[in-house]
Amino acid sequence: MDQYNTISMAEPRSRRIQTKQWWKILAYIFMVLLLITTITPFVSLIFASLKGSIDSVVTNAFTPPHTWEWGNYIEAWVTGRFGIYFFNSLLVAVVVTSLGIILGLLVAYSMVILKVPFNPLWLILFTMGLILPEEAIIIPSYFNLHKLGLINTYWALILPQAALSVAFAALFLRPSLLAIPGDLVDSARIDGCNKLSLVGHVIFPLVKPALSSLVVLFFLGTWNDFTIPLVLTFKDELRTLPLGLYLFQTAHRVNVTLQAAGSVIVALPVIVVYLLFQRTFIEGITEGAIKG
Amino acid sequence: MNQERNWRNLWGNSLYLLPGLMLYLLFFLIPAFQNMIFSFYRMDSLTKGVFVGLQNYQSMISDQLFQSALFHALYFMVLYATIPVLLGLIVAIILARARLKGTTLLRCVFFLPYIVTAVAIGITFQWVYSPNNGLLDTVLKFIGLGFLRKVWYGDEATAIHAVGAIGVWMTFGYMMLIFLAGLQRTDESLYEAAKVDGANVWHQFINITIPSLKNDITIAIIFNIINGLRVFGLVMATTRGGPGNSTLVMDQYAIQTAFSQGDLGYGASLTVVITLITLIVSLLVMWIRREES
Repeated sequence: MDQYNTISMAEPRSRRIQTKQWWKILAYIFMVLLLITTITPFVSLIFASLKGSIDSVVTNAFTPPHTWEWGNYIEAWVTGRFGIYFFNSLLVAVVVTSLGIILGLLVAYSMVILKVPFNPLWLILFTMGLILPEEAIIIPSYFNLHKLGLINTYWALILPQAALSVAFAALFLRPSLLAIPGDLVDSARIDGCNKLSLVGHVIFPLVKPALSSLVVLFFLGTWNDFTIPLVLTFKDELRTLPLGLYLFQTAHRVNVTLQAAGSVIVALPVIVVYLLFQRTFIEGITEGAIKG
Repeated sequence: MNQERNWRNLWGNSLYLLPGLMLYLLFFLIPAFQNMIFSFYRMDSLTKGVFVGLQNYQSMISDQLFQSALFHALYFMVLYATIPVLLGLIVAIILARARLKGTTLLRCVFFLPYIVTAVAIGITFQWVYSPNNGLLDTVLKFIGLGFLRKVWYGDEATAIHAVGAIGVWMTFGYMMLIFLAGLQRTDESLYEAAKVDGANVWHQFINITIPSLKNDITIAIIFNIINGLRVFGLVMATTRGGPGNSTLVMDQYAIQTAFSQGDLGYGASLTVVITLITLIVSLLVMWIRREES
């Protein structure tokens, strides 16, 4: 508001302030409505998961429960076998993320710093990974993994996703590595650094922000993925959370409180991690959009 | 000097490249090519395959389910490319320029739907769309528009829009973040100069904000088009392609044909089409990028 006082303008001051206030009120109303629209489904989910009788969910999902039936969660966890699914999602996400980042970093390192031959060829090959969707490999992966005897193992879930992650990581880290001044590398080499310790002591600290973005992107992508677990696994013990939740929903079509409890179980970890690491999360997603 | 030779050692250097490259080739790139090859075969099982040339593609053209699935794919692409982008843009601009209280909270909440898995969100929305008692119907009754009530998931005419609306709800936060990042890069002094020249809020909007976001708008649109192709999880958790195939999406159709009906070849050809669509959209991104740099 103060900026207006020092600048001469055509309109009288009172009218200017009125217009600006009018816009602001409109903005507030809009935001509050949008906030309500965004939050209400989540709130109703939590309410539905805590209700004792199925009927009150069906008739009105948006009133708070009379009694808070925390037992629903235990029932969902046990009946839905979410413990196993949780473990699977975690295992796959951690392995895929680690493989993708480590191998991707080494690949980018070899291309940018070590300057392996045929660099442009590798670049083109990896870039194709960015523009081809997951759907392109689900059927052949099923075929190949079956032939390799790896269908219905954790490898089926890990390998295709890790393969794609390596390509993405390599390309994502390239700009960060290219930005490292050659003198830095040279002086480290002169100081007696070998190839491996260069990565650890010099490169790694410099690309840490990019790495944390990758961690967010890979973890989230793997955790929420529905298609690959659906196509490549049949054993219940191998299923991940989204798939487990989907089957849980199918198995308990009528029992909506149980469905709700299951959904909360699946959604909560990601939300908690997001709230705790908001900055990193948001930076990771926006960096992924900009550089991807 | 031994060190120098170590650094130039081709085989040693390749060791850094090879693991990642091998993993990528074996489990992504080569399968992608295999997919194309499979699409020219009829495969009744994992062992028997007959080369049929373009037959799969020919049957696709007259396949009504394919036509529906393709049409729905286009629907989601267009929907995702417009409404969430617009909504995200408006929200981002308001948050960045209007200096409201609680901006951080709003930004945090609006992004929440994007990170929760689509299946959980699909389940959640059944209470929004449930006939007569769901939130949507309750609100409509409340504001006197009760006659607009429909059986949202059950009516072939409305089902896909119902799912689409969920998609808009899910993705606008992501769009908002892209624009917020872009707006942060805008030079504040441009706005100061404009105010000195007597520009009001609307002028500033048109002449400074929008042009500076041109690239972000393009990126956001293209990214969300790609999101629009990934509605499989959401559809499965809500309408499952029904009622009557009115929400059938390409992914579901491809997986159905390949695995439930055992025709891997046709399924492969369907995924080739999905791939082509994604390819065209992604190539657009890269073309824009080149213009940028």
